[in-house]
Amino acid sequence: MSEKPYLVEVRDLRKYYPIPRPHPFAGRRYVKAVDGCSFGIREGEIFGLVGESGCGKSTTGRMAAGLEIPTAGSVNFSGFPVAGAGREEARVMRRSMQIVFQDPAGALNPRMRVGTILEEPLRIQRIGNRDERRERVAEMLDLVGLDGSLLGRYPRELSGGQRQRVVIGAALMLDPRFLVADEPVSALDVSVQSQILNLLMELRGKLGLTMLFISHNLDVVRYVSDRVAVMYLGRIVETASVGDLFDSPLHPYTRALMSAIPGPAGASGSSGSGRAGGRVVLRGDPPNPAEVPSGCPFHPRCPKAADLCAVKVPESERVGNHGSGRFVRCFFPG
Amino acid sequence: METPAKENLLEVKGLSLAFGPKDKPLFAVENLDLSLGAGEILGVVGESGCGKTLSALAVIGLLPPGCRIEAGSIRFLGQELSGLRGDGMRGLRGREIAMIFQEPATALNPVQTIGAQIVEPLLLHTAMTMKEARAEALSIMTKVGFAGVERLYGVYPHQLSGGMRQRAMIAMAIACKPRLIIADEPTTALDATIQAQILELLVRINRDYGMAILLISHDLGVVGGLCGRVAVMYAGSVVEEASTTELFRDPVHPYTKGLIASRPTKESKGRPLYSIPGAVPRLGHKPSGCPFMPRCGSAVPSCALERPDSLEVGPGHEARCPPEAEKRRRVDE
Repeated sequence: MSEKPYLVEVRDLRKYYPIPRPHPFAGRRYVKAVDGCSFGIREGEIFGLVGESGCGKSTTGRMAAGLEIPTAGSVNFSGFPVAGAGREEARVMRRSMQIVFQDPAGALNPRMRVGTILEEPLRIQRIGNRDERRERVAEMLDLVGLDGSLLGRYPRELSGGQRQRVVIGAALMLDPRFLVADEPVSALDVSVQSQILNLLMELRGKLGLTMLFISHNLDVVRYVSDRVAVMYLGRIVETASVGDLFDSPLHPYTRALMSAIPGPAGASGSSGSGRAGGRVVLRGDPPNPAEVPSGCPFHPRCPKAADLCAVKVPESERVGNHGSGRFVRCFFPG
Repeated sequence: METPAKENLLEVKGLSLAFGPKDKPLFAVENLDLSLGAGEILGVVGESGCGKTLSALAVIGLLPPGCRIEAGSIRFLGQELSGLRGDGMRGLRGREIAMIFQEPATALNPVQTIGAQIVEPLLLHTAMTMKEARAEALSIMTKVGFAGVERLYGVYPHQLSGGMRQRAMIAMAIACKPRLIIADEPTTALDATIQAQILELLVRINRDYGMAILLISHDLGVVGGLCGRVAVMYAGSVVEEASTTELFRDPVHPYTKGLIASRPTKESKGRPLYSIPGAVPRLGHKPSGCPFMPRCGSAVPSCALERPDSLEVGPGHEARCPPEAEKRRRVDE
């Protein structure tokens, strides 16, 4: 029980988007993008969030960064509620929490030079005078591994990897303590991906960053994270340390995800580790989040589903008696 | 296993594709060699801009405007395709060579039903009547994993999920039982669990119908899991080609080594990943010698002089890196 307190704590987070009604007397229906997510991230920890498209991982990330207002539930940042903060409070809080998006080309203003992009957060937060800001920008360029000569360039003149370095640099300008990285390497080529992953790990070491790392790529998540949560249809189905999750996945969906990692059968040390127990190819598609199946949302695709699963929603249960922080939401785990 | 006497299904030799003015061509693909036997699955991997998609489009005669075949030949079943246009190519396309595109949402016709799109190549290329073609389309749809084919025959692409759309596109591609299927990033737009389903389907098609597949991907994992042989492309040419097991076990070209080493694995956790410095050269900014030289850790002065040749480094294993090939030869002796 003597664990470090959580820097970021998310409790029973929900986000429902209303679906336009076909006629004024129709009942209200919602897409439950996030439907009851809870997790905590300790200071200095990298917490991975994996799942397929539409499972709500990005929405969760945006709410954790205070960019989206939850329908219900709470996000606490070092003890203070993020949602419900006033405009001015939110501005100050945003200094400590930043987000890095997937597509660096879309995240950068095409009409601003690199120097201006990096300086902007300081201007908005009214930090320092012009010279001090310039100096800080130069330091940041160096920190994210960019050459000083790029200051006057526009985003279109940069390569994909350089652009993502600028995005990361802009996010770090205000010395945040918490960084949400939403698929930061998915849009990059393989050879550039490893450069950016190395940069993130290096920055974490230097700056002691706490991170929520969102990705659909299990290999990347395993490399980066300390603990991982797996999401399916708006809910977290399993949370565990990286070692536990990859060595002995408990939820049938986690197992299916791991065996879906493609890879050469014979290559040792490759990503095929999850295949030990034979390949599980799931039937069907992930269901539409507007029409979530009854009971356990995974039951129509689950190889272990029993009658109970169609009726009752499984609760998230702690696994192991010590404070392992391992949770699984399944009636028949393992 | 090798039967060199038999002519390969597809034989691409010295293919160069260029954009730009005739007197100052910008080469997107340079001196490309690929060969594919009947019933084989060959993977082509490379990063964006390496020319893998363009090469595939050249084979099926769908090069984008402004891009032309500057040199080389593409032979399919002994027939030269590079000069073929109009009717000649249309007779082959869909019938003998079919293509599966990356993004099924944009490759399918949004205002035609799935059934109509699968029937179309059958009506075009075979003597089937509408009734026969419909029956055949339904059986193909079952084959690719549609449940309730009678109903799905009449739905439009937007009514299907991404995975189902990709199945529909595969059904169109295999309708006429072509000998060669070109699959360009067939699973890149799909989720992990759906990707696994589609890859399994491709293997089944290859096994059951003996169709050869040219699989193009940026993902070494996808290619490694599916293909018997892999060609690695960099900046417009194949830099290494070998059997999949050989390529992963003993890569020769520094680029291939870098690609394999830079993938995050279980073992690399907690250590910095290997990364290839720099970025892929832009079109028209390719160095005059070996295009990989500026990023290469083991370059020697001679690398700057001319485009390297592809040399044999083992049985069925070629690499476009003379210094590395030389090293291997010396070790062997």
